[in-house]
Amino acid sequence: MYYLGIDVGSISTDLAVIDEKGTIQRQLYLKTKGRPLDAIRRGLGILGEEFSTEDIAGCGTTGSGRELAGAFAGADIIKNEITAHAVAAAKIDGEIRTIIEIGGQDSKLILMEDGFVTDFAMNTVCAAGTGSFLDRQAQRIGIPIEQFGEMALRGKHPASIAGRCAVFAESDIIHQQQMGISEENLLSGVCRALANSYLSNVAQGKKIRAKVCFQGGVAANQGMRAAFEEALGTEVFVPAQHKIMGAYGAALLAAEQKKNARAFKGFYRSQLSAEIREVPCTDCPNQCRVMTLYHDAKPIGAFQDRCGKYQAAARA
Amino acid sequence: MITFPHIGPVYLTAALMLKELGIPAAVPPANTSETLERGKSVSPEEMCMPFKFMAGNLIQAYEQGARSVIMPATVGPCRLGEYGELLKRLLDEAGYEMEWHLLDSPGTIGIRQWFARLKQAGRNRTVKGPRVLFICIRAVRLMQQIDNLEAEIKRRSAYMKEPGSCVGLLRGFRKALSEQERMAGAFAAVRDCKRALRKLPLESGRRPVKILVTGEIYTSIETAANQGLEERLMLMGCEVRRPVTISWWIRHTIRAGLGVGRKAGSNYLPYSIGGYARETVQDMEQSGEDGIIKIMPSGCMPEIVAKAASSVMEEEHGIKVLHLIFDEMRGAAGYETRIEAFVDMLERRKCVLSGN
Repeated sequence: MYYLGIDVGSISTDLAVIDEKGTIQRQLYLKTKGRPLDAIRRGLGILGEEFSTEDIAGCGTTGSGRELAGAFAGADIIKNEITAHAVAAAKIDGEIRTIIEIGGQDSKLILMEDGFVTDFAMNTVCAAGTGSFLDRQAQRIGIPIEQFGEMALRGKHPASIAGRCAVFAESDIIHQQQMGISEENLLSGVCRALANSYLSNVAQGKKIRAKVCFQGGVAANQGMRAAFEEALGTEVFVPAQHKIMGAYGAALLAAEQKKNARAFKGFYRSQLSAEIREVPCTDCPNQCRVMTLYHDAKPIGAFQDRCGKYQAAARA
Repeated sequence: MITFPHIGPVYLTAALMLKELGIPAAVPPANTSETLERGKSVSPEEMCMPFKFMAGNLIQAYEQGARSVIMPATVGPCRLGEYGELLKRLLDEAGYEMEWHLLDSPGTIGIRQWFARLKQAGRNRTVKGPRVLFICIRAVRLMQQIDNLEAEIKRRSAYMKEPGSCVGLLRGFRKALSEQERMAGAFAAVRDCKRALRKLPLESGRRPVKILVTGEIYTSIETAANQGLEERLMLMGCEVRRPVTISWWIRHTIRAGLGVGRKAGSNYLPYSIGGYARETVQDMEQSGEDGIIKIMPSGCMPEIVAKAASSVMEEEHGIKVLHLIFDEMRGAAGYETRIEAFVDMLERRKCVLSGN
């Protein structure tokens, strides 16, 4: 039996299939490209070629698009990213006490003790210290994001850049560029600014203790890892599965669930075109903006209805 | 017609009381994003969200024909005690001219002045004599019964077979109350709901996560301002306690004005610094729950100070606090993630602490 985890994030949509022992059998890292539903369908299509629907005993979803993924693919458990990431990290290494997770649009800090969460923090107001900022700067300089970290590592004299706000940082970068500072030093400066802004804005004085685990899409950037190691004065561990930790956690959570009824609707859904319609519900003062997925004018899933009656209707 | 701003379920009682006193009243439509938009049109940008909601209520009530307002306020350091005056002035300037009855707390304007203002507000009543007092006391009692029952529902919700059954009951209760024409009917609705609550099937052996909800008074009481926080928690199977209610406020404000009732005090925040920050800190200090969710609108000065006090408490007492700041942003995903992760964390912690 296998368990499926789907993590729908702002930049990437990741899928992981694990076996009963919690070992990853297959992992996928797909770009969301602003169309989460397409990404989920693509992912299910690829996995459907290797696994059959009957083999999937449970499905978990996480990420900012978790409700959409849950409504479309059918999920036994729909969990927030914090819990999913913590579960995955605890499974990989029980010694981990701090998780730094930086994704496309948000960054989180999770503190753990004996494998369970004791405290957490999330960026509150803006996406200044996140992956999308790095993406944009790489684009501006004209290098592929994959080479960002490698180039940053070569910078021996990091440029000083204000990391508090993405707009200020960009002006700073342009200014330094005009001064003739090399791209290597510039990129290494960007990493350092980002690491410091993370520690002052997200961590806000919380005690960061070893072993530190760095995960999320940005963990692929070696320059960021080096910047964190320098700022924290300790080794930073990046697990091999750092990109799909959310999906891995969701799959583990699905495996933990002891349920008889299986919610997973099957890989055939990858061929199903679904149209999403937003219906404002006026039955109570909550005024939910209910999202319903239609296929051939029939509802096949719904979310964002706080009372759950649209979800029940779509299931029937 | 007379009107008043919304705060939680208070309109249910207020409307019935005014009707029985024979004072024609206009109840503004329930708080929605539309209300907030209207309120924003007259408020300064950096003004707090409760203010914008209330301004929106009054504009909408004006459009329904209301020309007179009862505004309960407290003269505290919050907005330098000019909260009500500021609202009046902004609405006057925007062309919504109404007659204002600022019911500041009797402790600050004096009990005589307070009664004089109350009398002025109710001068068009058709009921005279001791019956007026009788109706007012009955209204306060109704409010207390509603608050007590709602607290009971939120407490027992966690022990139900279906976590959503209490949410449904609570909604049904509010709907039933809003359909009442007389206070007697409302009292009957309270009794009916109590009976229905007792009949809901329980599940034995539940050990739910207990959560204390505290913080700025308007944001905690008004569900539209906190994106239905308590319902969310109930659906997650938590036991919820919120000590700050309207009847608490009535007791606190009016009794203090009459010189009865004890003074609040806390080791962490001994002074009143406006709003109810001191009471928030005291609630947190005395909390026996597994975790605390402290809420405030963006830019609320008193609660920012309370937040600083809570970090010290977190370290000294090992309590777990989740700070939620609500603003005009309607996106719920960020709140959902935080609340769910917080509850997950408390659940696992509870399991470990109890030796499982």
